[in-house]
Amino acid sequence: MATDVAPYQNIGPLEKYRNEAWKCLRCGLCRMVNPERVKSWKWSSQCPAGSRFLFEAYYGSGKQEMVRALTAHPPELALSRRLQHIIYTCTLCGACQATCNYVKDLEPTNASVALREYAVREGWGPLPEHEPLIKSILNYDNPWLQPRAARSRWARKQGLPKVKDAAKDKVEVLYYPGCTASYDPFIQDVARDVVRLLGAAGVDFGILGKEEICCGSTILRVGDRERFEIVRKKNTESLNRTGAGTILTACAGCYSTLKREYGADLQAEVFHIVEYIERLLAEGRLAMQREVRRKVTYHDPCHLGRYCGLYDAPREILGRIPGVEFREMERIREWAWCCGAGGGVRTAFPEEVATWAARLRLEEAADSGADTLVTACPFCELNLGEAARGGASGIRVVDILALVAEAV
Amino acid sequence: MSAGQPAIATELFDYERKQRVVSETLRRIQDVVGPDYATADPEILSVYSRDFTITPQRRPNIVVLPGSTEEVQRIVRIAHEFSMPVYVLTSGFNHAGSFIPRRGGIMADLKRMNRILDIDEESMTATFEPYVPIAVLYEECNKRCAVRDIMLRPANPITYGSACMMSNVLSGGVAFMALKSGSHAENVVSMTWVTPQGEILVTGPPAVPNVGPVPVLGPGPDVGGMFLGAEGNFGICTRMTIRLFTENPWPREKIFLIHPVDEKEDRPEEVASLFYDITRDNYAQSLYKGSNRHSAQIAATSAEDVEAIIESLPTTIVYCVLAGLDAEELAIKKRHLDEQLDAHGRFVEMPEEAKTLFFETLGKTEEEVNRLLLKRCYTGPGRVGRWKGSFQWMAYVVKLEKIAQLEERYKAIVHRYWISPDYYGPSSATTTDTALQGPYQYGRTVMLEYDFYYDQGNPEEVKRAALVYEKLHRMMLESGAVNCKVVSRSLELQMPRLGTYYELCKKLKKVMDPQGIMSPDTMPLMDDYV
Repeated sequence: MATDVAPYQNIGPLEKYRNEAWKCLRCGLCRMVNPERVKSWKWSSQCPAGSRFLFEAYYGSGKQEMVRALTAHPPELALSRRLQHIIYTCTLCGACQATCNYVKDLEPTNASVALREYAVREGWGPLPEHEPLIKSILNYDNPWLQPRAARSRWARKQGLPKVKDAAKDKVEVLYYPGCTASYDPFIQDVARDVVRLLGAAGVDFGILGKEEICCGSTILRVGDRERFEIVRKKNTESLNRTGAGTILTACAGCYSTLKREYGADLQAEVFHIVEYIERLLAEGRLAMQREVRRKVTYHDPCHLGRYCGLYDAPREILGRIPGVEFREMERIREWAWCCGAGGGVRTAFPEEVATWAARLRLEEAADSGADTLVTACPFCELNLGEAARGGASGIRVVDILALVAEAV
Repeated sequence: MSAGQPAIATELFDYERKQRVVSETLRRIQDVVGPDYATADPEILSVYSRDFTITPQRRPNIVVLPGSTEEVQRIVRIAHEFSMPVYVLTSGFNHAGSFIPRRGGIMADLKRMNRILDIDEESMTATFEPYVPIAVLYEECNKRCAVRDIMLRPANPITYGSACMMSNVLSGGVAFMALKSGSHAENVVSMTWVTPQGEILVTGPPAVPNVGPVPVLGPGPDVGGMFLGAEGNFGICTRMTIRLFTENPWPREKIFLIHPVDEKEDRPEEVASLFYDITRDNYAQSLYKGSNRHSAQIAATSAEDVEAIIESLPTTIVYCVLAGLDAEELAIKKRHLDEQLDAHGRFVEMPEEAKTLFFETLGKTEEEVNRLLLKRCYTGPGRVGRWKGSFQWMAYVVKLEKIAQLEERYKAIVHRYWISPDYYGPSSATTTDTALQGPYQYGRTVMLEYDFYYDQGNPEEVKRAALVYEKLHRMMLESGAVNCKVVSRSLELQMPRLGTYYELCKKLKKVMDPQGIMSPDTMPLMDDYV
């Protein structure tokens, strides 16, 4: 049926999307959940930027029109502040592409990526708000201006098993926590839970510690492919040096970047922790026996779901936790509403878009009857968690590993 | 201007004056809706400059997102003051290029007016604002019960995902449920309009204080109909109440595929005759002569596949949906269908295995196809459109006895004028066959549909599409068919044939919109229409 082109697959220059732009019928399906899956009016929107600003230009079809107008001879538009706003308020969540590609085979998200890369080439991108992050990644190997030496501080917590240094010792599995779980105090428990669970399952694993380098996702998503390539090359060498056969991450962004953008250059196989935990459970190396009495719903991170097609593993795991009462939200899997953080939006438009979108997701979670919103991405957890702390939804946001660790 | 001064100076002066007017209008509009909801930024305007029809591209000068009837009223009054045209957009998906601002001006994008205000189970009505897509109104209505276990639904869910209910009603959308439950016009209970001079007008019983959405005609002479099919020429509709119908309660439903014994021979007159017999006896839920090219284009993954699928199918396939309260009722109807097929002698039912294979080719289950026939999920037509991008659709209501003659003339026009010079697949794949939909309110008529797919990025093909489209319209009108939905050029060609009624429409436009600011040039109602 559909060509099933995932976001960020074979991005080409803007001209590549010119013919697609002409093919956009303006049917508006990119604004909403696939109509065959709509369950209510309240939760039928799909595009965070479009729903926030409402002008057509902010939806997937609008991005196609930007491509058409910019590639016209002569161009019908020039790069401008408004165009920057249109291009960079998109979270690149891929929801528009999920519907459009299913129906019409077009790639509006990829056209948005091409627009960003075009903006960077023309000197209009990334945004000034993104620059400190990019420079930090290039200079300190993380986007948060943190020293390299602090990267593995999370692992020094009392009671946590000692973790091997994969830069010195040979390991079967390299655990790659990524920058958010390494540095953000609200998210570091994700990394600790990974260590506990791998330890409990008897997995031979280690981390790179201060030698770990950011995957570069942030630079890539804001359209700066040239500088991303610098990071990618450096990180590929670093990861390959370990000789590990498996790279494991609990970050959806790192996972999709390593799996999709590094691809065959990596000598190891890349897994997201939910895939790996599912395997450990199936092999009987992990067992969840303690009851976790919660009403739980699951938020599909864009980079895990739409980018990599991983929908079932987290649901399988949640279904196996004793005591968990699982409820689905209305917008799930390919049609899930983005948390609002991706594509550099949380950095450049934290309140205007990121928190706004997160609040809507929390409300949807509350509507499902759940008291806990589970996700499998530290960045989603960070954004949703922050919105939950500042809002009145009463929903608790946790990483899936927290529940697994509680049950083991 | 002194003698010898270049004429360009006047144009520049006019341009500057126009820009000043636009700036002042924008400032006033922003006072109404706030700065975030009105703009003249070219990047925003650009997206409102074109759609997928053959209508030429043009940008508005201002885009505004009003949030209420009162805001619409104030915007229209500002437009009136500055003599600035106003065009309206809801979902933006229509076949007539109705929202393209042919004279520039203000684009009122009604996305903020997106509430379902009421679904009244007792009076079986739904009241909603402009930006409510059919899919969501359907789902919300379907949650309600008129009678125990019998759900409610709006009547006309065509272009299920893309079109909004209100604009679909106003432009005469049609589908199977419409064929069964009465046309859009018959299902409108009340509308709220902002007139071109900025008054608020309510039609139907809710105009009377303290009367709810009671589905009766009037009160008084029913002039509400003049707003339907008028493409926004008489104002902006901000609220609508329509009748709801009970969801089909049939527990047993089945699709039967019927084709001629001689599979490769298309005999339109015999299809028409079969349609007539089944329609006359009034036992079919739905009747549809599908277009094989349409089906193949939905299912195929390459242009070659399209041709291969068509080659594997009987030339004519009629979908007949039968339903019953129990297996016995369904069996009785099926027996009746069999008897009619026997009487005709030339039609047989597709065997169950072949039917399953056919649905598999389409990538759908029988249940999904049935849902498509009754609900018309948009994804089907959308998938057809992916081959070339743009498409133009036309739908005429026609007497069954004319079908054979129309088919012949249709083919002659297509073969003579529709050539696709640079399509990457077989040139024939750029057109579809015709499709018949019926029964049209149980009468001896059907809806005849033609679709054309073309590449809007190819100027030569756009010209050709426009030419074929006009030829077909003229042929249909001359053959005694009547356009049942507003599509590109249909009003332009049809209205002048209406005689005194056309003159009355023009007079009404002059009275209601003396400055001609409301959606000018979307239909030939003003003296300076070109």
